[in-house]
Amino acid sequence: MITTEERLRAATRAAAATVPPDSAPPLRLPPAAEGRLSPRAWYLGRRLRRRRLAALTPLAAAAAVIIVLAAALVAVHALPGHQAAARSGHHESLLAQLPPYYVALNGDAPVGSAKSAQVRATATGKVLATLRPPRPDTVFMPQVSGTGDGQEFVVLASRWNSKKVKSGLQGWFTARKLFLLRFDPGMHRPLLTALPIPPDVIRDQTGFALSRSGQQLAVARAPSKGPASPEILVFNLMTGAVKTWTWPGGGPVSSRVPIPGVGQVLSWATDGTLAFQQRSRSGAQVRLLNTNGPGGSLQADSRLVLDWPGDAGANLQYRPNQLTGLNVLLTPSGSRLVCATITVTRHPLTSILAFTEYSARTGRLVRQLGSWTLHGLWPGDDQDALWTNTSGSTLIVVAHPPGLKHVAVNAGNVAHWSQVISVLTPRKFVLLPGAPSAETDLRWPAW
Amino acid sequence: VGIPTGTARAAGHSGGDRAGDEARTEAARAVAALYGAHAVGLIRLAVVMLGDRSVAEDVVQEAFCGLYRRWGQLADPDKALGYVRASTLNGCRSELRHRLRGQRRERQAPAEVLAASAEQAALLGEEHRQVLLALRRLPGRQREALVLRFYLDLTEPEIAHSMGVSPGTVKSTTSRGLAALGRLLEEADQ
Repeated sequence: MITTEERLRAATRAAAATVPPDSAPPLRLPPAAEGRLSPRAWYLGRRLRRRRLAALTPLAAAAAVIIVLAAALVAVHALPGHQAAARSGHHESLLAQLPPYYVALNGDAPVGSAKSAQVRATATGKVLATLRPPRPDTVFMPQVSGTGDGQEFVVLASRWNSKKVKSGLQGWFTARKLFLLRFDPGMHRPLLTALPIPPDVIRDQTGFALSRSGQQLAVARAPSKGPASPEILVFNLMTGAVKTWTWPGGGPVSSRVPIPGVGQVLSWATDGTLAFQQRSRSGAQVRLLNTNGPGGSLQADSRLVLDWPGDAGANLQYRPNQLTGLNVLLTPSGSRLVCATITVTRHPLTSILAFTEYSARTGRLVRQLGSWTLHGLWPGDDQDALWTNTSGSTLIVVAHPPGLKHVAVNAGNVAHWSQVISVLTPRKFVLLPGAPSAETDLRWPAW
Repeated sequence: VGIPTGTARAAGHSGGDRAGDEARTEAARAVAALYGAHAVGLIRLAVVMLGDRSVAEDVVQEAFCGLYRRWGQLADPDKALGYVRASTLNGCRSELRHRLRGQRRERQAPAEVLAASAEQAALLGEEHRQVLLALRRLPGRQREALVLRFYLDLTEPEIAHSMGVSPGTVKSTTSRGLAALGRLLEEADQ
């Protein structure tokens, strides 16, 4: 007969075996904790604490009551309409788990392009370096991709040309080039290296993504000439080799949000799986492509995971009571797909915005991190997931602040409809310190 | 491993700052080494306790960040593993309390917990799943004691240190927990 102890041993070991060896995510330590580690400061602090302890006890009790009341007030104001609680303090370790740097575009230039790119510290928002496009390029286009660890990025530089015509000024972009941006934290200096991607590929690209290792660049392309044949090209940045997947007659591989720079079209897992979004006749699909093969058919080598409703090729649409998603991120582990979703219900008209995670294996909903139930119709402002950790438990998102309950779609309420770049976990919603405004600047940063 | 790069600052530092930098670098190295050696084991422990891989990873990450912050206060670095294991258990306890509050507030099991269990169920057999569900129905202290005893094979003094209780309490808690688990499994088997 099997004893309870034996059953317990077997079950706990089976549960533990679901965590493979060498699968621990990277450790991120908090730089802000530095001061506490000085032995002398710690010793002096302890001596002072001991001496004052007796005198401080009544004060501490009073302070504790005040803190409890304040915390209750904060919770009351923060929680309604949002599952993720905004907690003051204790954010240090959460911010330390994020990639250390990100790239944000800065300075207005024509048609949403930017005069410069900034490397910023994630935990503080401090600008560590600013760089302009190398000559003869003059602007950065609003598309940036990163490896997800805050070390390497790809930016798209271009030249803005203009000439006077009878009706005024006519302008156009030429000579687009992709650059690999590496940030050296020791020197506080970003290094730009031109990538050998053919100009026609860059001209026709609808999105690109740097792999987690920084060694491959995936480019989605919709050739401007000939019949519709969406392509995904994967360039090996070390060897220059390129693999191509094509889908003759397939819908374009492109973002669901028709604003340049908003949303990821492609997203990598560390094992070489690439998630891509493709418009279809019934709406949009999310598929997973195994890029370890030699290239070939985009249809045959990829697997459909999510199918969202919409119209035949234009923008995002929704159907009542049906969940529909925006842009999708694949977690580095390749186990989950993360995206902002919308559900609209009627009687009364209600919009539910959420950050939803799906199993990459089955396409089934796994969990939601935070949701916003709004009275009225979702007016089209887009939440978006910008970065995810290995398991999808921590996201950097563009989202509405907690507590938003009502949306009246008119210009007078714009102030109540501001989005912020934040860190979202199942339990926390923390504003990213010093982040660019997501309300006024749609060129969202990349990690 | 993301070791803070503050040590690169050199010019204009006082001796105290330099000593502080060295202490930080040493702490970061030691914590990183400990993480490399024990992170998976601790994530597994948290998975057994919580049944959710992603939350387990967060709990372990927090535990190591806490260790790094308090490295200077650690009297004996050889006890760092014990410290971080206790922190992980503390984190699991907080998470379970948080879940319980959520369940009470919503009067139902949170979707994320169910979903995580469902996903794990695919990987675990029915028999193991039943045992784990019964384990999670036990009071927190009993569950901890059983996991430390029968999953980690810790001795009573080691369990006592991790849980912050006396060896006698460990003995009685383990015994009660095992009896309660047996009863729950009997009910489930019927």
